[in-house]
Amino acid sequence: MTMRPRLRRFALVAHVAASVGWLGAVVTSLALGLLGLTSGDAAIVHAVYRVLEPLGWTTLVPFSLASLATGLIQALGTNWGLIRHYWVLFKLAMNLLATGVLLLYMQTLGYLADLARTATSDGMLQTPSPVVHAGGATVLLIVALVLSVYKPRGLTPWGQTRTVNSNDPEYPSARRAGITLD
Amino acid sequence: MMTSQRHPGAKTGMPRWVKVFLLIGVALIVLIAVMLLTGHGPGRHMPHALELPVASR
Repeated sequence: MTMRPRLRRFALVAHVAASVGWLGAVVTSLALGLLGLTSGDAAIVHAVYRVLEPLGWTTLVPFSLASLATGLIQALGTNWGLIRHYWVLFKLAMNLLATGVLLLYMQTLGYLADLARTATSDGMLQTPSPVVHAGGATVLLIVALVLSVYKPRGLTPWGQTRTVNSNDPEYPSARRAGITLD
Repeated sequence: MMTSQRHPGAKTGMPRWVKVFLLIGVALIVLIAVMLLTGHGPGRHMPHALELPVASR
């Protein structure tokens, strides 16, 4: 089932917006994590660990789920398919991995926020954990972005058994699809 | 220059970039599995954390 061109473009805009929003939220978390790790001011460190959790629930989680949902719609609603091309398959796997790790990591952000909330003003708690996780997520999302733009060729075994509908003007070129049509 | 002509439906091998991605992906999943099985999670980050005194102003 393929979407009509207007709907397909709207779905693409939604997917790009969700994914860009996710990358922006991850980079913001990375910047805050670095600030929390390097600042010598206890008030700033406590504020950073208190704000990372609501930032996660209000931006990271919604954007990651929106990116996953719009990506699935984009794949299933176009001739790219979900498991036909390796680059689409890898993006799906990376999205699932990143979303899963994020949902697990929200417990840690909640734990850090509680610590920051209850900690006395006599000390402060600094951990590289948010920087490590946000840094890894940034790398993962940039790799996904590169895959989206370059669309490296390569059909999965399942994709190779499918017939190419070359009459569809929106279908990617045979070169991109990794096949040569005689 | 010779060019390879493939027929539609002809099976092609797995591209090199896919093999590289698979290797990295498997390594990443093994790393995450090991960390989860060894108790990585809320509170477990704290042993690496530093409890520092308030910076003098």
